[in-house]
Amino acid sequence: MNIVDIAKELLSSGKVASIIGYTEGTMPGKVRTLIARTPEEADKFVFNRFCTNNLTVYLTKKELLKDKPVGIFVKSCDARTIVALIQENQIKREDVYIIGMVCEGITDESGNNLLGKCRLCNTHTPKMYDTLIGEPVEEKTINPADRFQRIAAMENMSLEERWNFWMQEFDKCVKCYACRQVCPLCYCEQCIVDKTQPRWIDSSAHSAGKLNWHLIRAFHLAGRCIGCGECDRVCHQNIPLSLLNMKMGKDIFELYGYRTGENPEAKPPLTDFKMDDNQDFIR
Amino acid sequence: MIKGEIEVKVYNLKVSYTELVGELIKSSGMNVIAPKQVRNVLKFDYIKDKAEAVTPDKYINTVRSPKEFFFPISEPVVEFEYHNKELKISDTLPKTNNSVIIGLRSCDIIALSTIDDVFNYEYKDEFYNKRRSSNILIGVACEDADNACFCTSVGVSPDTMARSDIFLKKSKEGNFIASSLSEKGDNLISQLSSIFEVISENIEDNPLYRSVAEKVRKPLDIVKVKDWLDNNFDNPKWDEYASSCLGCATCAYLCPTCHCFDIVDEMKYNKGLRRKNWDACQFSSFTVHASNHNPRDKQSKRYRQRVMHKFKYYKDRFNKTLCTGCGRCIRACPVNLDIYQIVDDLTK
Repeated sequence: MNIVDIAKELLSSGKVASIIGYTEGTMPGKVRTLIARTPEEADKFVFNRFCTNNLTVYLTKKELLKDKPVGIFVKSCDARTIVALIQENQIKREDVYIIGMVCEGITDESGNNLLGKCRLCNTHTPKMYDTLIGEPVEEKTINPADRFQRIAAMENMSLEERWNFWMQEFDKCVKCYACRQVCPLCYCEQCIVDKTQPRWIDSSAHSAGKLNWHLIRAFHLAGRCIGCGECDRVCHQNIPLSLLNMKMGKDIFELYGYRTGENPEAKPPLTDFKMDDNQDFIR
Repeated sequence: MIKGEIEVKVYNLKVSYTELVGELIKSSGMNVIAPKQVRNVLKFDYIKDKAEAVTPDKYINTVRSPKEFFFPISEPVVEFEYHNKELKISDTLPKTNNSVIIGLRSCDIIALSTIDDVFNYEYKDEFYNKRRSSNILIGVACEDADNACFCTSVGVSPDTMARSDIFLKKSKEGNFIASSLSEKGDNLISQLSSIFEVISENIEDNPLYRSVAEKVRKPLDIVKVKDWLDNNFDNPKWDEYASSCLGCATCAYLCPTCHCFDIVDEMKYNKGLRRKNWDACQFSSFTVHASNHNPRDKQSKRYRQRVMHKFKYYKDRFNKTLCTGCGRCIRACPVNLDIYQIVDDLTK
């Protein structure tokens, strides 16, 4: 069955109240989000090599999805986000009907270049799904260190070079918060940057306001970012934000051997403690 | 040639665009601002070396609009200090730092003249006006358009000269013809007289610009759009169209006409600055009252506000459309919400 037939069947049988998926965009290389609530609306679903958007960002939008369960098209990377959202008690497994897409990789808008995250992807089949579309591809083994090759150049910089690099990158930031809004794991109802009593982070787009924003966001995503790269994609100022998240992810991996989005039962290290922790402040 | 009430003087530019930038740096006595690649972003920026200026045949338009040179992302409006229970206030008006901004597209120049109205409505914004009056604008006609451009829908075309001080268009032979449309333009040209020569005869129009105008999206029926918006504030279509909006400010912050701002006080010990910061109606916090009530409590209401402001409210108040068809919001929207297509669909 193709994706439209599957979506229609799910909606007409009442298995799901709505389905979040992709539809053709208005420009070459772009797709749009379609939230279908009737079988007729499902006619417009597509899945192609431009379906880069991580649609799981909509799963935590309460105003949008009152009726459950919600169907959603996911690639293997997006499925990892669902696992992370379940781990963090933001969604319940039974409230989501996962239409897994076997994905051979997504390209940039030209259609010619595989995205960076896809070049390093070893799981083309989502690990969690209710229906799978496409023939499952066996998971390739990948050296964990290879996952982090994009940050090697940054890690080789001296502290001063690294500081200059990031200050120049952050200087371009206009604080549109597209990175926050597109991030499926930035689901706080009130972001720390919007809190005013007290004001923790200057809302102004001056150098301190920009630096503090990006650093606090990186810290808040430490070991939680699944690496979908949406922050990089939506940043019109081309700030390579995912490098920060990847670095934090690497630290968490090296310290705790933990990778987010793998196991819905696992406790994320920064929300857990162990009595045999090797640091004694915890005891 | 007469256009409106200003006499338009026409010159042949004897040098290339890059050489013109070089002359401006050398002889204008002003800062020169032009489209420049800054760490993978094409934006207007200060040019120290003429080679940094990206030539207008190499871009459709910049990623960032030039509005930030008139209405900065974050601008101190007052400085204050407490000493022994006394408050000392000092103003922070920008110093007149004259600049010449070159490489602007017609849509961005018309955008500035559009927001002149709101910054001079009931309150005259000194900061904005000071920056406006101390800058010279040199526009360059578009040699190409992409599939986000829709300027002809909103009364602009790829070679609209109005509101520039000097406007550059290529002749059929490929050299630039400069039209001076203001006293500021006349003065600048007389300062750089060695590279301009007066043209007396009429110049035949370059058909290139007609073909660019044909390449942009087909004109919307803007009157019909206004009429629909006048009568459909509560139409359920808003929910349908705007539900995928993620509520970031990409559209507003790249837009050359969006002009909303927030006022914040930032203090350190007994000193502080009051700042005027860009703000955007797509943020959920934009309309939250002190009581925590939010009249625009869902994204579709916020998206409706954006469309209404651009195509209805601004028209009602200033008789102008608050959109010049530059296409930046369409190119950059993370979820491909396309204001042209939505407005077109709504009225069908």
